[in-house]
Amino acid sequence: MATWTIQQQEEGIKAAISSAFFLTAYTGFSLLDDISTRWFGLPIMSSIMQFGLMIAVLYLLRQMYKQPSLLSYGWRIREMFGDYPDEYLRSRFQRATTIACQLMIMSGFAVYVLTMLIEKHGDPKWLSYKIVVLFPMFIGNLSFYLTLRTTLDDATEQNEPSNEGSL
Amino acid sequence: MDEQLLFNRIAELRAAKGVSQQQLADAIGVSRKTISTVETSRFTPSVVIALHLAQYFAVPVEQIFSFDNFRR
Repeated sequence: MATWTIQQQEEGIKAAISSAFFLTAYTGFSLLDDISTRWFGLPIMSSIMQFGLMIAVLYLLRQMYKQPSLLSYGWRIREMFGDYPDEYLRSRFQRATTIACQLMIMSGFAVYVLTMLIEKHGDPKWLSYKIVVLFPMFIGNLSFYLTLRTTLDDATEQNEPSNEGSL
Repeated sequence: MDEQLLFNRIAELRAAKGVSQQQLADAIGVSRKTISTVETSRFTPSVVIALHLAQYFAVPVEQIFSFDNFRR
């Protein structure tokens, strides 16, 4: 297994941020689309949300056009395990992955319980097979994106306060 | 256990040697973000990085990192 350069690792982070943003937007709009139709009976709102799905896809296409190299990094499963030799990037990636994974598990369980409650005490029309899958995906991707998005923010040497002291 | 703040003199040593964060990062094989976040105490480095820094600046690790503020 070849050792990745710093630049390749940063590209991996960028790919993760872009794909997490795309999946967050896509699952979020899908979720709202399903809820607006099924829960509130609002076909107009549903159409607006479907337009939002197009925006998410356009964002992905724009990223692919602007930075085609990101695609190859996004598909490497190795990044999913945070295999980064660089300590800072690795720690940030692992933190983002851990939080996202925990939130997905918790939200998945919450939706499972909610489904049972709706089946037993609520209106079965509220249930949708999509929501059960989309909600944990949305929560996980949103958390992953929010945790990782500032990782590569540029901090200039001059602007960064330092805590060094005199000899 | 509360996380203890680790003070450092990396910026000062860098300035004395006339190297940028990027040059230092390249020299010890880490990203510039690692140097930048260690310098500002936002990230605590491993012993390996600390030793690399000590080797690069040719000073003991204790002269780069300390639990006490160097300004005192």
